[in-house]
Amino acid sequence: MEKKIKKLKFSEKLPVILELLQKIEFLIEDEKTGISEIAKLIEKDPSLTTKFLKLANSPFYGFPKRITSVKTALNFLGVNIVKILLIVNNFLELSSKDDFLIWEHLVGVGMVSQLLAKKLNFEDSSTFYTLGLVHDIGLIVEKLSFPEEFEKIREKIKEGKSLIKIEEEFFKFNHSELGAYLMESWNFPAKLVEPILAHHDLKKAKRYLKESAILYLADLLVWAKGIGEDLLFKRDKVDSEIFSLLSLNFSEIKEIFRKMDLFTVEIRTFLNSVLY
Amino acid sequence: MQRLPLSYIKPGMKTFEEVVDANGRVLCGKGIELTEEHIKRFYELGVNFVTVEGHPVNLPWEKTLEEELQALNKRFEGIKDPTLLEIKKILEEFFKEKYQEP
Repeated sequence: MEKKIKKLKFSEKLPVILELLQKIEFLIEDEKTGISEIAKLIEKDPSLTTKFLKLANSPFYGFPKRITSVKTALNFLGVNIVKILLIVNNFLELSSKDDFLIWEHLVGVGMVSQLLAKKLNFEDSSTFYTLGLVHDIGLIVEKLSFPEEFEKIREKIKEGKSLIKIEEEFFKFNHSELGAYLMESWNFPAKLVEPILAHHDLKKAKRYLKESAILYLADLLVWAKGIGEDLLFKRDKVDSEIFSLLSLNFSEIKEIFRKMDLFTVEIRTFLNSVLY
Repeated sequence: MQRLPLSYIKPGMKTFEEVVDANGRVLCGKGIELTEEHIKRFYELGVNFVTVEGHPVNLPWEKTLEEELQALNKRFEGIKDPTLLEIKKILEEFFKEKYQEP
């Protein structure tokens, strides 16, 4: 699978971000540099900084105070989350208002993942929001790198076929595998890679089963509620262990739907401010 | 309850929960009937959203109960998986409760 992905020419769509990520990597490897150096590197680009801060102030991180500098963001969120936000920003720039529903899905999954993580007492619930934003990165790369194939995939989804099966027919890999591969190639830890790999197939989760289950369920609930309809493809079966794995009962699921409903307006307002 | 952008908030609406500013300061308690002064202050202090009682505004993308249930049935068409059908049942209950709210 890896060899097939390597043949893709997706990287041509990502030159700017790859360079920046590489520079950040160098800074991290050099033990003498602190986060101030990383902050300075990002702040060299004022337009990037503005957009980055918009993402860092995303309503669902729920920080008590507004984040007004890259350094504060690095302190609050950590380098890995900041790196993901830079990647997400890059994809937002390559997207347009036409992609609104795709992004509504991503932000929705982020919001619900964070709700679930809080409920399960994970300390780093903001990590889960970020994972949601990036979990379908494979799908976005497919859309950007193979627009013709992607349109055909969309047609087949309308006929009621499973996305994963169609992707495997077209590419010999699916978007979960591609997303995990990309995250790995950008040096993210397994904790942030595995849930992406397993978000449609929990059997692929090894060390991070609960983390993966959170993303898996969030993705499913956002689909079920009809948020981001354009990206919908039929889910025909679901891991029957999912609720017991996360110790959730049906009234708790209903409460999550209620919160999703309440916050849809916030998701949409946020997206209108970051998508052009 | 409904969460609304500040631009939709009108005097007379009642807060469903506390209103806090960007720095976490509580500006207004819950169950308070909002006045022009409250709203002016929210604008000055950068409040973006307020959760109010009831469902006073129909936002452009909001569907009717019939439309929601129709779309839900379409999404779940042909699905036989028992867990997925449970999720569908929860959603049906949720939508019915939502539209019963005053």
